[in-house]
Amino acid sequence: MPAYRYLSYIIGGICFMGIFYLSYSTMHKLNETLDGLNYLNQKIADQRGILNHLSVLEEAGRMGESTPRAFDSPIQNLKPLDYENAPPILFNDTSFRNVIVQHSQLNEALNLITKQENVVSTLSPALITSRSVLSELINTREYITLEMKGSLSTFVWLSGLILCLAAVLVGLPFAAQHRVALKQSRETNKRLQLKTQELSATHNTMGNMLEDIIYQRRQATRTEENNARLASIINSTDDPILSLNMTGVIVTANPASEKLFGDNLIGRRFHQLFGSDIADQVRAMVLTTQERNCGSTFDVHIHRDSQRIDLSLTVSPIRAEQNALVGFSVIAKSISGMMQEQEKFRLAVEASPNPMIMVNHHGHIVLANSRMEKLFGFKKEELYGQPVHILVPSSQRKKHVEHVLDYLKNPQSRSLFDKAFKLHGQKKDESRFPVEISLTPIEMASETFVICSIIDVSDRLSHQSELQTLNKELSRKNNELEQFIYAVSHDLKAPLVTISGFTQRLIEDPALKDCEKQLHKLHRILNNAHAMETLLQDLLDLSRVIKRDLAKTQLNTEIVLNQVIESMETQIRSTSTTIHMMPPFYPIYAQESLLKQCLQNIIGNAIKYRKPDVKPTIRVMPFANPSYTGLIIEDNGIGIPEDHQTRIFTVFERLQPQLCDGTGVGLTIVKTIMEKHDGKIFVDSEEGQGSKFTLMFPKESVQDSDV
Amino acid sequence: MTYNTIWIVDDNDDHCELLAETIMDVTSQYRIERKPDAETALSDLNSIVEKQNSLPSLIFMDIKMPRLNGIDALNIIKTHSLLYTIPVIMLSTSSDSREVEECLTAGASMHIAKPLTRQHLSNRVIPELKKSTPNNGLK
Repeated sequence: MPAYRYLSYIIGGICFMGIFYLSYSTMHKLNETLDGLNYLNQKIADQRGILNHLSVLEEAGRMGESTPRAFDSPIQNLKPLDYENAPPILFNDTSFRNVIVQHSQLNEALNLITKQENVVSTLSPALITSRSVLSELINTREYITLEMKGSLSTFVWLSGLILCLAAVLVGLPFAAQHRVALKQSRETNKRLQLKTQELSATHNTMGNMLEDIIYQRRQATRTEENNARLASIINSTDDPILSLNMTGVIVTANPASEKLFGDNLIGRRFHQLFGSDIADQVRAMVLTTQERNCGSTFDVHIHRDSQRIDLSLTVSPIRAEQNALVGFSVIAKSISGMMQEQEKFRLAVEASPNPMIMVNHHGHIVLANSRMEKLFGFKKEELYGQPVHILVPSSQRKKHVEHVLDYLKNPQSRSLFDKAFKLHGQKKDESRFPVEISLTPIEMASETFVICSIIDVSDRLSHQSELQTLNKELSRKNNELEQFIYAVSHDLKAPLVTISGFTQRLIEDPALKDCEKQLHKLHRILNNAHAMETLLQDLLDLSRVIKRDLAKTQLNTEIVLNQVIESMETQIRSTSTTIHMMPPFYPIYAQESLLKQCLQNIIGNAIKYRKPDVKPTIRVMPFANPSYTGLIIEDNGIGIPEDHQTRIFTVFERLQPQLCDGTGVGLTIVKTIMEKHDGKIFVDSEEGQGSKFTLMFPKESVQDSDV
Repeated sequence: MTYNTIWIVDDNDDHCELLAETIMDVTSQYRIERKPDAETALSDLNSIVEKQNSLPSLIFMDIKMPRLNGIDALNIIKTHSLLYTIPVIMLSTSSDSREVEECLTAGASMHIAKPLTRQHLSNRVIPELKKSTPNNGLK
């Protein structure tokens, strides 16, 4: 900064000195010029005087005057001009130098004139020289004037230039200084802007802080109000509320708790408020709360003025900021009234014939009955507060927890006995057993509980599996039996074929043609063999009926009847039996071959068991009711005594073997066929009055027709 | 003189004898061979095929036999590329309709309930035999 300033001072000084010098030299030159000018003017005037003189002389000469009178005096005036004293500036000019040269000539002319020699002849050259001197002098004056003008203009120009330069030179440092200053001021400006921004930010922050402070102050006021209100709630509630520190020492207690537990509670240990039998439980409960970091509730009682007071203690953790546990709150709700209700409920659960537990919405057991204790081997106290999955085998626990959570989301009554999943319970001794569980959600004091009834189904399961085994065994036996009947029937038939075959051949043998006795015996053998064959055939038929599946169709009963009667033509004709058909008949839904077998047996029986002296008459009538169609077959035979009517369907049962050659299987086959069809057979008979058989086949059902 | 052969496949000797005698009563044009069971019959048939000997003109096949029963044997014969031409008459002590149906479906010429009577043989079987003999005679 100062350098620029000094520099500008110096430059300024130099410039002023320059201008001073310039003006001084200009003035000097001007003075010289003015001197020259004055000198010239004087010389010009002199020259004009000379010229006039000369002109007059010339005039007089021409008039013939040899010595002009005018010369006397005026000639003195023709003094030679001297230029020694001329200002030096004039010598710079050529015209002035010419003047000096010409002047010397003029001087000579004038000298001549003065000597008056040859005045007239010399007069004219002097005149001419004088004139030229005059003109040269005028020229010189012009030159000087020009010189003067030039000097002035040079001065003006130079001084202007110097002034400008001075201004520029003086200004430059200032400009430079200015520039620097400008730059600095810009930077300062920027810095100032930043500062401004910072300041406004700070301002905002401060504004916010102010708002926060105001808000916090309000909150604080509100919190204070809330706290005051909470305090007044706590102080005025009838339920004792206490807070404990981490060691279980009472820190605060409301008036209700002092009323209940006595004065001077603060500083005492909470569990010491209770009798020694409960104190441990209470302490355990506080510890549990600490361990699990969640609240728990359980019921205790105290004796005060020899009166039992039931309390529901809810111990909850008190958390400071960052969830750190700083103590416990205890709400002791007197539940003597509620207890009665709960007691009733507990008794009802206790009285249940099934093992039961009640579970809260966390899945923890809150109630269990004695049967539960007996079934699982846990004491009730061991179960209370435990998660319900301690009753589940550890391998199933994970799955069980999911089930429980699922269920608690949408609790509804249901019974769980999943054959695939196979629910198991685990006893205290870790033995397992299959269970069936029914769940019933109940709402109590706006909390959802679930009552679980647990049934040990190991007996049932073992019975079931036993039953299944037996069933399998039975069907296997049945199968074997049928196989047996079939095989036996076949194998028993084989020797009969041999016997009857060879007997037949013997009877036809020409060698025995006349041996009547032998032939008679052979015929007896043959007849018996045939009887045996018939019996076996019937047995075979029976076993087939039992064994085979049905192929039922809607049958035109009339056609079937006609075919049966046709097949028995020989028998009917030989016994002169009359058959009355009483249509219309309804269609029967049965397997054709089996229906035919039934009818053959019944009609055959009607013919077989005819009265010896009466021509057999058989009436065939239709039967129908809403669910069955069938036939009624009535004969006029020997009838069946009432006490035998149930026995006729038993295999090999023949009421009067002597009468005819029946096998005793026929009606058994009929009954079996009817059973196979889910049909019914009734006999209505009286001894000596004939018999009436009613066959009922179920109508085709919708499901059957769909198949 | 060369006889056409009739095979009787039955595990019951008595039945074999009875049938053989009954056949002899009716006709003497055939040589009768007994096979005690279906397995023997099948192996004999196979060796005939191998040796390119004459196949039997007719086989009487009992149904109920130990190990391989008659119906299974029938099925084997009737699905064999060479043997299927032999007429087979099934014999059984029963006359169960299902059994009959099964035999006829498998390709039996007929199903007869034992004992086979002379009348039945001459009226039903011989005509059948005569009908098929020209095709199944000497090879």
